Amino acid sequence: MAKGLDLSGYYEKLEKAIDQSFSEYLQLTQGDLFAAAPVDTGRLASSFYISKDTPDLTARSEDWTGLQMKEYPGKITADGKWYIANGVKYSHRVATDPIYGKGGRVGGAAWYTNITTQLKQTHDKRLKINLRKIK
Amino acid sequence: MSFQSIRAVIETELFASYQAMTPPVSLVFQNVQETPPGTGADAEYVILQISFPSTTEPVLCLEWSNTELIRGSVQINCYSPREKGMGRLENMAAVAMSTLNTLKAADPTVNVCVGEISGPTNVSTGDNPLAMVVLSAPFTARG
Repeated sequence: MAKGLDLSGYYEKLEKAIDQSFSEYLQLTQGDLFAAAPVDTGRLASSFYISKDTPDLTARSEDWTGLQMKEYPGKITADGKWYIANGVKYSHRVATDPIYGKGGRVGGAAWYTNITTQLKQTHDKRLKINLRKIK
Repeated sequence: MSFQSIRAVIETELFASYQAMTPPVSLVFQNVQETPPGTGADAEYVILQISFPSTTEPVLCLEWSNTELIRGSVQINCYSPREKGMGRLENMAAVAMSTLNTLKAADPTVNVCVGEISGPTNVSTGDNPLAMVVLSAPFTARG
């Protein structure tokens, strides 16, 4: 009598699940920031950019109006250093000061803190969901 | 489970701590007053924001559904006049930090357990006549 355990392809599936989790985590966080940020012209909300190795501190032009999330053009994998940055010069104030950030569309004045304090949980949730898919 | 009991522990403890400072500092609660106390260049106050970003957790086991776990977020903004040094702001931030670290013991039934505290971060951009530092932290609680 014998019980076999077939691990062929297991590590490839594991690596793929980790990459997928990290990619979802970054994109969902960018989406959360985009959806929660206060909107006057939409420049701040539309200027959250994902980048690798160095933060992308460019921003939409000062005459920008509208809401459009800029998706990362390449493939996101769980390696190296990744950033979500916003180059609008008043972004830090609007993110952290409830007097300026009270128009936050999700989470009100604490819109930014709501997202950033839960990053570990966001990542863990994506990881659990993708690990469950491994057969 | 009650969000009110969680909020009560945090607000009560922080209010007491800021009242104990010399001179006492006003604590602005959420959805109570639209305009902070004193808007002039000599004003001094703290704004407290509490929110509950998630209340359940997914589980790895396929047979189960979610499990309840209240996760919250607390943000404390301390305001003090500009060009008067960082001492007062940092004292206000230290009061916030030490109070957050005692919340678990303040009411063991609610068990507000604060995680890693970010800050105090100084935010000096903008035209606000007051300087500001901000602290934020995640927490879990039973409610």
